[in-house]
Amino acid sequence: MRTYIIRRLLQIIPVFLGITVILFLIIELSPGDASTNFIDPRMRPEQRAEIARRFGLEEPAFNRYFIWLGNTLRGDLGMSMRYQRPVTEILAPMIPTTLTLALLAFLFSVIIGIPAGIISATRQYSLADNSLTVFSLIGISLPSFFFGLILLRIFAIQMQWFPLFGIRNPLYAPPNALAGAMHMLHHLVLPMIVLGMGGTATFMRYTRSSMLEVIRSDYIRTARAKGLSEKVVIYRHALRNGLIPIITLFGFWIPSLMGGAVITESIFGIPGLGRTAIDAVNFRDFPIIMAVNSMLAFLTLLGALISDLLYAAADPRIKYD
Amino acid sequence: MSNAENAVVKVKKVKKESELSYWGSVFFRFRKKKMSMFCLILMTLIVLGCIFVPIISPHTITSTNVANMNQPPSMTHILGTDELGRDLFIRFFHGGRISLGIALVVVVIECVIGVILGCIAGFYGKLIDTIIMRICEILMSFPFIMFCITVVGIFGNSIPILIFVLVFLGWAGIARIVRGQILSLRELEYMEACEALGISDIKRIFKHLLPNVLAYVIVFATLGMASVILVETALSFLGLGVAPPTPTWGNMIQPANQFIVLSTRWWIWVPPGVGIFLSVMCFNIVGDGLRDAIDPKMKR
Amino acid sequence: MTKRYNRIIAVAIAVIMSLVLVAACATEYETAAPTPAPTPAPATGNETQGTDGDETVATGPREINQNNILRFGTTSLDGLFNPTVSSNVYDSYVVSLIFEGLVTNNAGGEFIPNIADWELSSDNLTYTFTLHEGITFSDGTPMTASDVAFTYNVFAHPEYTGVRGYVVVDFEGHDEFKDGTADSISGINVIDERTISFTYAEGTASPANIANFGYGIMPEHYYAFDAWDDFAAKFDQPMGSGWFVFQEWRDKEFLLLHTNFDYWKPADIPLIDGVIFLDIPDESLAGAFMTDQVDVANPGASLDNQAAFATIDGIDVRVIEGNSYNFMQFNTLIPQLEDYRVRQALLYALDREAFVTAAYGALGSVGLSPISPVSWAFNPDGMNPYAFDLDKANELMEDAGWVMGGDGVRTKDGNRMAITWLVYPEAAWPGILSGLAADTWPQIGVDLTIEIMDFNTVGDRSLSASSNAERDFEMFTMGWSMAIDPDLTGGIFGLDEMALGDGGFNASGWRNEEYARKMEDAKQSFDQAKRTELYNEISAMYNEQVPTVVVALRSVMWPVADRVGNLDISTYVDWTYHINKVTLDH
Repeated sequence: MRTYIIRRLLQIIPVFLGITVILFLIIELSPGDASTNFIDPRMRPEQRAEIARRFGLEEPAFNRYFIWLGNTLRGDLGMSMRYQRPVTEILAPMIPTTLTLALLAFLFSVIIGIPAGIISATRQYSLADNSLTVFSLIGISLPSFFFGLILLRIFAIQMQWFPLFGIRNPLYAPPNALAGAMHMLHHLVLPMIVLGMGGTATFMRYTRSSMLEVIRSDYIRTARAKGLSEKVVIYRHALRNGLIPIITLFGFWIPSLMGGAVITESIFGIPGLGRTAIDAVNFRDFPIIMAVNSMLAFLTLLGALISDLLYAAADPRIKYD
Repeated sequence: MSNAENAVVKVKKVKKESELSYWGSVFFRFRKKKMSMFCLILMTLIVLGCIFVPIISPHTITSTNVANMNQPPSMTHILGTDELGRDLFIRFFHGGRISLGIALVVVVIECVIGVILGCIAGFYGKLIDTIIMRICEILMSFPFIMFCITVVGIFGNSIPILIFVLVFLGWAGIARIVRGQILSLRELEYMEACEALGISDIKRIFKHLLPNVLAYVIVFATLGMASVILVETALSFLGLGVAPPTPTWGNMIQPANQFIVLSTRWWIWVPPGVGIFLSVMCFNIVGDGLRDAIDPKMKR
Repeated sequence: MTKRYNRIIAVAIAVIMSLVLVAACATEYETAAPTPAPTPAPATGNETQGTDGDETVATGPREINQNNILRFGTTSLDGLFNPTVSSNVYDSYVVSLIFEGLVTNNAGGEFIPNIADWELSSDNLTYTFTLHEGITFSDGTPMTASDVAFTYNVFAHPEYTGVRGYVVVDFEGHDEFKDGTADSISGINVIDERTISFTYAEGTASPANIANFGYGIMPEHYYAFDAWDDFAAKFDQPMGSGWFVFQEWRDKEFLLLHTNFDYWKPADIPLIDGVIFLDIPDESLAGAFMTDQVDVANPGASLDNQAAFATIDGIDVRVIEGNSYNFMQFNTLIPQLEDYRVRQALLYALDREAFVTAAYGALGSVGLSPISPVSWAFNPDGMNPYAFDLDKANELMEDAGWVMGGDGVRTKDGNRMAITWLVYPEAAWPGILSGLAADTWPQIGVDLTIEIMDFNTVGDRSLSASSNAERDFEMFTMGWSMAIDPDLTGGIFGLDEMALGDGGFNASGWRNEEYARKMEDAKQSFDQAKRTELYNEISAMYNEQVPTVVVALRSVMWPVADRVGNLDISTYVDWTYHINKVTLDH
């Protein structure tokens, strides 16, 4: 097992490097740079040349890649062109916001999706099962941005139950930390539902089919034959094995959550990584683009690794060498 | 209804099915699922609408009429008009044409590349397999949406670039499936027979192996249509996919970012959203149905 | 079963709550409790405040009242809160609330003393400023002439990264300083504690020069630096002498300023307790006003926004005649567009009235000349509005020798009348304008291709290309805004070497020696009547030759909540200029 973990970790390195090389090449081929954002009708040509030089990249690309790589490994992600400050300083406050949203959405998916899947499986072809199946089909087919707009239209504009945008009202002074958390949670309910919807449907589908498989298996039949009550059979015996494949899904779900956050954040005006990244792309703020993309690629790889390890840990039948 | 009756019915059907060809029996099983059939018909209707409505409609997608903008649905404009007075009914179907068209092109190219490389990897194994699979692994580890946004944002909103980036990241999935299938098929006896008979590699791959993986490719392609439509519309909605004035269902929803459109002009943004939803759902259900019909054991 | 599930659900809820708690704590509220002002306000200030009827400041520090903070809706802040480098308009608002410049301007666009009086020498080259008495920065340090010299030297610093190099570029000795042969700019002379003079190089005198002295003065003791990066590190922690003190900035959320209760002119201390810039996407602004989350904002004057704001109760939408314009530039060096009659035909075949209606409604107007209609130099007499007329357009095309071909596209000498228009999707109007042209230009035999690409690439291929050789366009559209002075040299309408040469802004390539000289004369003349006459001639020429066209001018929309009193905004007066007089109903 230990050698397996080490080997998997080592495998990540070339893959990660491959991704960063491709990203770097793409940025290298970019037809424009950030200098158009820094023009003023009264500027002199020589001043504009200076600005161009500042964004211009004098070293050859090959060297610059290794400089970038070296700096990144030391935790220096470069200077943002737009903010003219270190990228790490700009991204640092965005990360907790995005992570909170992603984790809330994840918990939402798990809390709704898995029990719904279990109910579906235990009452196959019942009304509950059929309606939950239809719900999950809607869940995976409804585009999240459209769903978000519908929720905004109904619950923020029509009913005014939830705020239209943002994660809090900066002029609101919460009397204590709990009230502050509730205030923030209130802002995050709709984004959480939108971001969690796809996951809820997916977890439900997987739980249902995995539980169905287990319920049909021999040892469950044996348990039933022993005369154990249905509750004990399902919740003590079937659940444990039925959920193993679901656990492995968790890791794979991390990148989808981060990708979904880009869309959700821009609909609900949430100050997170996703919106920062879109702004950076529009501004051609290359260091931020590089940083966000590599961060997300790293998370994707990490998610896959976690999945593999969880799977290895959960299922003793699988051997690793 | 008694169990005995059920059993009889089953036996009868199996008998009938066994008389059919491979694809005939697949369709036979597929047809039994009402939901899948319904979605197949709906999907066909949407596709036909996208092809023919822009041809027969009296309006064109570019003709503007500022005196007639933001009109709610009426007899002359079935889905109303947009901020330039363009007819939204025809734009809806034209948008569908673009959205579905992009998805189709992407999926077809993906499948061609994926099948070829998957076959090569699975058939030859060894170094070539390692290289192709390592590339697949790299591509599948890309942060999908973010990478699409980056590429489209940097190289500009154009349909070819969008197609390129979606194919670039998408072919690895099908290549892995095909490779897995080829690997297991290669060990079967009839392949050994082929080898013994001295049949060339290319012939062996395309004549004897490929037909066996075709079913999987079709299922992948159908489900792939659904996911490509979702990604393309999301990117176009963010303004980083297909740019106006070319309509797609994604950028037609974009005006809903405006408060006034979102709160008072539902006819501008709801129909394209429903269009995406229905077509994605249809492709998903048809894909699931096909998978069950092709191989009832292949359930995820 | 239920028991077990209750436990799981309880655990899950606990996890969620703790998560949100952590997140909430990680982004602790700076604004949480009402905080007293850092130091007691001077007694005189309190008395003045008292007479104004504000009871909260009878004695001691004035308490910050959260409801007495003006909420301003912005879309993006870049964190460049420094008078030398701020480049986006919202950053500049922040700067103008924190810093004070030597001069300012009145509603008529005339420059008036702000914190200094000035004299101009008889050769119009030397400005001598005398700082008002008693000016202090918000930390209590007095402002001296050397702070002013420090500020202006930053513009010329070899590592300067901002867009305002033009502020000092004409100073005597600028070039020597820049290339390192001199230690300082010889044109900047500190005369005494409160007096400083700036001398322009021979031949650069212009009435427009005074505008260069409106930039905020920075405290040298706070900003002094060896390495540029040390200076840059303070961009997001600004300190000046103005009415407000910087508190906190959270990117994409908010920026908070508190009132400077120690302001050096106690009579002018603002009546409000602070200003908060809230990051609200343009799309959500109407909703934010509707739900009373914002007091003042400047949404785009689109039809949608006008319709949205018209329905909101409790706000007053002010419409200010603006200086913003959309322009269209033709590459006059290609055979299709070299003849001015073709360019005129294209204008006749473009329904700009319809464009204005679709894009701005009542808040826009068709542009006539490169001179702002708000300016004293503007005169609409004799200007051709190019009212939509396809027959006229076809006629002009014929006159220019372009003959209709069998495929409906005109040709001349083997060239097809095919034009590619670069359109960026970041704003809606280029799409609307090109959408109209896509409908009407084919009707006069033009094969129009609309090429969509992002703003930066459009810029790189046209006006911001670093050399003329890198220009790669046939026509493009963009928006800009006009300065107070009508000077046209150097910019997109400029005909001088600076505008047309490598790296210049006039990408059209259209040259005319006579008019280039007229623009230079108009720039340098201190005789307003003569300038008006020259600008009329220049406008008439542009109206006829149309290498670069002002497509439309747009007004600016300022929704202001009813609880805001005394907010003064006009074309030349930003909302920040007289904000000290603003009151809030709380």
